[in-house]
Amino acid sequence: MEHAIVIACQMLEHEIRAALRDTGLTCPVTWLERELHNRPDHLREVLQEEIDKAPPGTTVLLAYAQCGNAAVGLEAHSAKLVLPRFADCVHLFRSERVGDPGQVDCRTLYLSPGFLEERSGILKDYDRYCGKWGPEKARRVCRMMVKNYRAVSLMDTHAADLEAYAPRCRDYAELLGLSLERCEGSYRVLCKLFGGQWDEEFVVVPPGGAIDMAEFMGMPRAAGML
Amino acid sequence: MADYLTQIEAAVYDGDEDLVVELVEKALADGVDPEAIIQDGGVAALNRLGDDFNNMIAFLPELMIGGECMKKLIEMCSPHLQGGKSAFKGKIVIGCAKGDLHDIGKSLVATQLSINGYEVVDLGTDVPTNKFIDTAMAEKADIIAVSSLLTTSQYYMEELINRLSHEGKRDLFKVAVGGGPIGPEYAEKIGADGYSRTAALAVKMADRLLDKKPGDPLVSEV
Repeated sequence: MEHAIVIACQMLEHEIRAALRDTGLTCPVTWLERELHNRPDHLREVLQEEIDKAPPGTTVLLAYAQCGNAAVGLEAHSAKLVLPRFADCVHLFRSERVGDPGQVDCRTLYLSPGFLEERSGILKDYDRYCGKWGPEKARRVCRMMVKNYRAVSLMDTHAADLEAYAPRCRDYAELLGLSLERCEGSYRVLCKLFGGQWDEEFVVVPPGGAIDMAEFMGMPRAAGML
Repeated sequence: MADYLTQIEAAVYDGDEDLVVELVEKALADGVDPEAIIQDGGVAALNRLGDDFNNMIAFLPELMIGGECMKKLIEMCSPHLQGGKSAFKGKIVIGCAKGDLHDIGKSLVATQLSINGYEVVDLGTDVPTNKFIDTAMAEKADIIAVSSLLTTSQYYMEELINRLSHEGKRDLFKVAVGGGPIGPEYAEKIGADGYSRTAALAVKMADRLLDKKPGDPLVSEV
C-alpha cells in the first residue's frame, strides 16, 4: 500500500505488530498513549492532530474503533481515513467473521495482553487509593467500581504469550472479587485493515469527508445481560 | 456550630465515613440544625468534590465515597428534620440504557438530585425502553433521565424519544441524557430536552428543564 500511515493505540500494540508482520505492510506507525480511551473527547483531539499531520494523498489507517465516540467527527481533510467499524477493541477482537459484531457479555471485563501491561488500569488505581485510604478501603472502592460485573476474562488474541499475563490477570480477578475466565480473540480485522480489504467491516472516508455517527448506527445494539 | 459544619464538610470530602458519623452524632446532640448539617456540611462537600472532579483533582472513586458518606449523613439527620421541608421540586425517573451496567455516573446524578430537592425513582441498570415509559407514566414523573457509557446502548436513548413521540407522550416528560460518550451534539440530534456533562451540573440542568417549553432549545450544562 502506497502513501499509508498507521495511527495506532498502544493498548493494541501486540495485535497491531502481529498484523503488520502478517500482512507485510511497512509504513510509518504513530503510537498513541494507551489510556487516552478514558477520555474520548481528548482522544478525538489527539487523533485529529495526528491526521492533520498527514501529507495530502495519504491513506490514514486508524487502528482504533468507535471508542466511546472518540472517532465520531474526525475529519479527513486531504487524507483518506480507514477505520474498523466496531464499537471498541473488545468487539473488534471478539468478532469472528464478516458481519459478526463480536460476542461480548456486558457483565464481563475483557482483558487482552495490552490491558495487562505494567500495573495499569484498576491495579494502578488501587495503588493510588491505598495511599489515600489504606488497602481495605481501596479494595472496597475497586469492587464498587465493578459491582455489576461477573467475571474477568483473559482474552487470547494469539499475538502474545498469554501465560506471561495470566498472573496479573489473576491479581485483577482477586482484587475485584470476580471469577477468572479465558476467552478467544483474534486480530483478523487488523490484518484486513493493513491488507487493504476494506469491506463492510470498515468505515472509509474520502478526502474532505468526516466520520459520522451514522456509520455505526447499523451495528447491532447492546442486547442486555446474557 | 460553624466548627462542626466545617469539620463535617471536610470529613465528607475526605470520604471518612467513621468521622462523619462521629461528628454528626455530636453535632445533633449539641443542637446543630440538621438542615445545616445536610446543606453546609454534606452538600457543600459534594459540590467541592464536583468542582475538583471537573478540574481533574478528584476522580470517580472520591465522588462515590463522598456520596456514601452523604447517604449516611442524610440517614442520620432525616429523623431530626422538621415536617414540611419535604416538598419536592420535581420527580425524576432515572436509569442506565438497555445493555448498560455502568451505573456509577447514574448513581452520582441520582444522589445529587436527591439531595437537591428532587424525588428520584432509580430504575438501576439495563433498563428497557418500555420500563422507562411505564414507570414515568405511573409515577407521573417530570423528567426521564437516561445514562449510557456504551456506544452500543446509546441508541436506546433515541428509541425512547421516538417511542414517546409515537405514543403521543412526548410532551408529558422532559428527557435528559448523559454518560461518557454522550455529548450535547448527540443530545440535540436525537431531540433530547437536556444534557449534563457531570453529576453536579445535572441539578442545574434539571432546574432549568422544569421551565423548558416544548420547542425550546436543548438545555445543556457542560
